[in-house]
Amino acid sequence: MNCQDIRELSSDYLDQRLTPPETSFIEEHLRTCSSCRQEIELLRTTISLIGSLDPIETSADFLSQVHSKIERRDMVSRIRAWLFEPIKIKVPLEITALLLLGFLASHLYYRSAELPRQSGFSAPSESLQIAPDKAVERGREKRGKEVYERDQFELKQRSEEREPAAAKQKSLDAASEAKPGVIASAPRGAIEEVVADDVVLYGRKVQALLTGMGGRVLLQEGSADSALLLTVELPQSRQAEFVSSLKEAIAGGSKAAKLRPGAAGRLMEKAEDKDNLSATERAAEGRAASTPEYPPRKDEPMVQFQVRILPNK
Amino acid sequence: MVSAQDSDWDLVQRFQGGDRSVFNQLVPKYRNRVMGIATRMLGDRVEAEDLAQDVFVKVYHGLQGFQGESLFSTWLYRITANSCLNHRKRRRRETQISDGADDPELTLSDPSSDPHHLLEQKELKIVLEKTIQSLPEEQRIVLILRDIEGLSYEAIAASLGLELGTVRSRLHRARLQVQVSIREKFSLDTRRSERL
Repeated sequence: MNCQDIRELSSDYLDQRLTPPETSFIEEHLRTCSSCRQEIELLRTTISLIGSLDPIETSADFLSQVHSKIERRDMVSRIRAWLFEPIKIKVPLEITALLLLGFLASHLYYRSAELPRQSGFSAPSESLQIAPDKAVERGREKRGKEVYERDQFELKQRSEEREPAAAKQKSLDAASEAKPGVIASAPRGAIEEVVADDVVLYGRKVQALLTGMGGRVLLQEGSADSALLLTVELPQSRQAEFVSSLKEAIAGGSKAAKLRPGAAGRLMEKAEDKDNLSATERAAEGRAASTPEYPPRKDEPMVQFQVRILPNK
Repeated sequence: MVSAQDSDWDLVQRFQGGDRSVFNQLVPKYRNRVMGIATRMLGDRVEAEDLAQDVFVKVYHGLQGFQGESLFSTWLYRITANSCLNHRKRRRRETQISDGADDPELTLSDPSSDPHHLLEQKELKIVLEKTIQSLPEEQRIVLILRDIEGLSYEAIAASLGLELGTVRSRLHRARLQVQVSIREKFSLDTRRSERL
């Protein structure tokens, strides 16, 4: 073992990590080799100096800072768990939801671009004078404006749809006030008004009459003055006959309709008889009545109007 | 008599039993050691304190799963060493240690002075700290754990996941490099060291 080997073992020697024979051998060498002795002593001093370095202390609020970090990390963990755990369930669901949202957003985006064209909305004429590339840029800038204008356009359309209905109702009300107790021969979509001794009974008759003609009652409403308002639907070709039957019923009373020959008279008679049927018979009759006596032709247009039955005071 | 390790294990078991307050006893016991390792590994006190706090946050969250397969201190040093090494990998820049060109040559004013007295001088401490920080980090961590923190070779090997032979060789190379640096800075020749 030469001096180089001895110096290689110097750290182990100073840390007392050598076996007794190795330690004895080195100590024997050091007694005779001053150079190795000096090197080992210098190494001992170096180790001593390193070990004498001052400890480095933390700041005074170290522990509270650690607790703050723990709380922050706990909060992040809770949020992460809330968002993603159980991961096999939530993550696929969230991905699906994101895809759906993306699809919906793109759908709305493209629909908003197409809507003005479909509804006949025309862009301001100045946009036609813009060069194509500039038009694209201006289009991006105006997208917000277009969305606003589209919304305004839709609002206008809706209000126009509502206005005719309101006007129609207003005109019908005016007509009924002007001529109470008289049949008003109103145009299609208007109101037919009749006066009857028994409003409810007459309503049933009207219903039976409609069924026989291939029509039906869409809506039945009562009012404060005991009147009955029926919204009905009927094949267009039967409208005149139906109105005529109503007039005859008024003119002759409910029983007079029986005396009258013709389809409407028979129907009215049938409707009256139905009131006298037992429950079983009425059920059977109901099934039969569901089949119109005069079925409408295919593709025949239907007309809707209202029948107001006023009590005879 | 209860040793420090037994005391640590007792605290760990109490923590695992639900007594979180014992964490407040573990932190003061080890915080300066963790801080010393982090500071000497990172070379920046602010970063080191932040990292030391992170180490204890990891300890807090990992303590429930600590099975006592090693000493608590060994486990703590392993977390500290790994955090330091990972931090340096992320940062990817070595602390700029002056090689002496910018520092005045420090010589022993009195050849007969005891180096332990000189250690009180600020210059010597600075040189030593800088020399330690200039070491390759795999040598540096071993030197810190052995010569500053006083861990055994076995504890260092367990903390760093190294073989004992690797610990011995790294430690020896680190010491020799510090020795060379000290000798160069202070003109410590072997004759002076003999007197020390």
